[in-house]
Amino acid sequence: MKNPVAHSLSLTWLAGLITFGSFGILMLFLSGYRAPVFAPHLPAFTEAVFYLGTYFLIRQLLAGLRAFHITEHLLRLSMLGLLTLGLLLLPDMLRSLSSATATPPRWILIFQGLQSAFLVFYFTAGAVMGFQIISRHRGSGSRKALLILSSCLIALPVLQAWGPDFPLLRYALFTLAGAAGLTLFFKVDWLVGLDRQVRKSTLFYLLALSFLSVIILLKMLFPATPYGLSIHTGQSSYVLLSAFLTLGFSMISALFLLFHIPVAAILDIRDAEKKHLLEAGLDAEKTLDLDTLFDSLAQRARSSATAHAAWIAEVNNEGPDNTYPVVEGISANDIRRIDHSLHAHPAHFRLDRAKDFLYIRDLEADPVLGKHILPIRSMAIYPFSLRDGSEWRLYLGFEEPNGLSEHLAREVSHFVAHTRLSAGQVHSLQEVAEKARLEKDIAIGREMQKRLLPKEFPLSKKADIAASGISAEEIGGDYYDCHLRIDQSIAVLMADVSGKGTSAALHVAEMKGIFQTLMLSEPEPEKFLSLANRAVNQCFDKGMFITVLYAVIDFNKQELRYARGGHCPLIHYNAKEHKIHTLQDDGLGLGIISGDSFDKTLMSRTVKLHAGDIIVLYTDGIVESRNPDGFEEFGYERLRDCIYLNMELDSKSLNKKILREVQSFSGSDIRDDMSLMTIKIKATGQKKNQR
Amino acid sequence: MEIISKLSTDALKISLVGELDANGAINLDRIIGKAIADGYYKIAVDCRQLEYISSAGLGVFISYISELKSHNGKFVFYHLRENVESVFNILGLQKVVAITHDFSQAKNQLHEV
Repeated sequence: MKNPVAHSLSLTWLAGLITFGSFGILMLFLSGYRAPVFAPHLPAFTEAVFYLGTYFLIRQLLAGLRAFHITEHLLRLSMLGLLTLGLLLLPDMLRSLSSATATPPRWILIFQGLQSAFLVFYFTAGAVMGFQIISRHRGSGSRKALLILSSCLIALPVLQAWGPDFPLLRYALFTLAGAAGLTLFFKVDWLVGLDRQVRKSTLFYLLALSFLSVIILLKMLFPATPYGLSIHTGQSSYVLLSAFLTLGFSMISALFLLFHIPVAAILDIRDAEKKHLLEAGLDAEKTLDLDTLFDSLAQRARSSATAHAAWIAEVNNEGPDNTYPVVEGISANDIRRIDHSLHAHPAHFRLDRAKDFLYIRDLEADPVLGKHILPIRSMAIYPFSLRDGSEWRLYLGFEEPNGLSEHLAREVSHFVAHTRLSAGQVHSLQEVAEKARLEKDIAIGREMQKRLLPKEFPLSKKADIAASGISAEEIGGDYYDCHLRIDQSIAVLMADVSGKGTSAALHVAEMKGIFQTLMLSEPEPEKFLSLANRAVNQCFDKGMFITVLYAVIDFNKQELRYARGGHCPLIHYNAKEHKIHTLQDDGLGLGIISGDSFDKTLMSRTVKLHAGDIIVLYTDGIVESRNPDGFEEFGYERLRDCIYLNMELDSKSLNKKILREVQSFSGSDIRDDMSLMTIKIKATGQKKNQR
Repeated sequence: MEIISKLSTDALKISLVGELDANGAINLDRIIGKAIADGYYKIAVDCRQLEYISSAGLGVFISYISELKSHNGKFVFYHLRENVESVFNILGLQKVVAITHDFSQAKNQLHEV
């Protein structure tokens, strides 16, 4: 009972009891055993002191009963009645003191006036309190009983103050109040929710209250004894009722509490477990990493099992790990010694199947661990696994042998189970976060890819150039560019970086730098590929390669010069011959072999151009896109046919037409990026010269 | 998917099955890396059941070409399907690795230096 409030209250109560008791003994002594000097006046005086004393005492008691709901109000009401009665009796006492004179002196009249004023106050206060009770417990089953009880408690003193005695009405009110009170005695549910600290002090107050009411009842029922009270019938019914109600409430509540305490102890443990689990759950919601989760597990397990040390270690077959995410209350050196012993004797420390933890009751008595001098005497090991397949152990060390009680062991099991669940949540959250991150990566990569590709092509009177493409779900490494050279010829480039995803987009960015730099010096195709291959070999990882097709459309010489670096062959429609050609010559992708050997493989070709010729560059996404069955590729044949059949369209429309055709062939599943560049020759240089 | 079988102390056969995409490439890279570490420098690649090969898949072979060459080893691909062979040809790989018709030719190629 460390509650300071309860402590001081019980002291006050004790002081009150002593004062009250000594006063009563003094009165008894004065009235009973000596020839009483104030004999005729004493009963009223004693009573007044008794009631007032009781009032202040109960007031103190009530202060300790904060949890009282219904009872609190009722007791307050009966207290007020006691106070009233005490004050009512004072004039009587004074009157009896001055009974020698026939006419009462003026000050007695003043007291009588005060008496009436107090009755009015009591009535008002009683009514207000009654109203409070009823409004607070509106809707509860005990409302009617409360209403009846408080009305009776108000009516009785009022009736008495009225003057003439109506015994029948008095008894009726008494019975009614008693019956109403009886129904309320068993409303003890408030006791269940009582806090552990207050529970014992409440029991103490309740017992004190019962004791007090028993004294009052005894005094009233046996008025003839020296301890008895002589109360007028009118007052006695009120006091009797108050005492009866107080006894009923306090006795039954006290008895209930007495039997409830052992049960409550268990409930407390449950509550504590629930609270811990709830906190652990809240922690898990806040945490996104295992470290924090393990930290909280070790701390909670340690504090709730009152362990000296707690630590968590991962179990693997390769031997004890030297990294411990959480260590509390023990040196890493000691842990290492324990771990090595455990690992060296797996059979000795095998987990009992029936239990979810291993318990070493006395480390000194243990044949293996007893060799070490450890700061702990007993130890519990809780193995647990996480969803990622990793195996862990929670260790709890105690300073005494048999340090872990059964219900605390159970509680720790709950923590472990909960941590596993939370770790699962952490994993799912991490997966979700990872997915979100990947999606963001892809979005960034796609954005990057979009920015890398030229938006506009140089306007040329001699050629109609357009490019377009479709992105696959996964980012590809397609890249194209176009450059208007000083001699008005046009250099076009179509390339594809191996691999997919954000890394491919990154490589495209690097490659763009290389290509654009090279294009500025306006090399011929063969030179371009040779330099590009050297650059790629230097910049990129092994296994990374780039296919590229570089072409120069020379209007002055009316020719197309190109070199193919492992890229899909260029398609050329010859307007003069009215024929379509796939220009597949030898050529190796960039980045596959180094400088000189690559240069040997290089071949540049020259093709004559005519007005109306069409040149189409594309990536493998187009020809390799497959039909929904997956058995057939779109292929070169279909591409050539599509160009041939739609050669009247302008470049942009032709591109769109081809892409639509590919999509209708392959369906919605786009496996690879598709890029396409079309150049339609409007006029050759000669025509310009003629003009 | 890949099936591996030893041919001799320094030769190995890898059969590729199904589609060799970016995910499969990671696995293939591990397998070839380990084979080379174990001293197998002559690798025959059976493509009979290879339906599709992505650039990442090709990249794996490309990345080991020079290493095998430095150990007098090589890749020999055989039984290529039409679409796979076309991918090899367009990229120009036939200049860098040996492509043969069947296993017996591949074995002969493998031991030619």
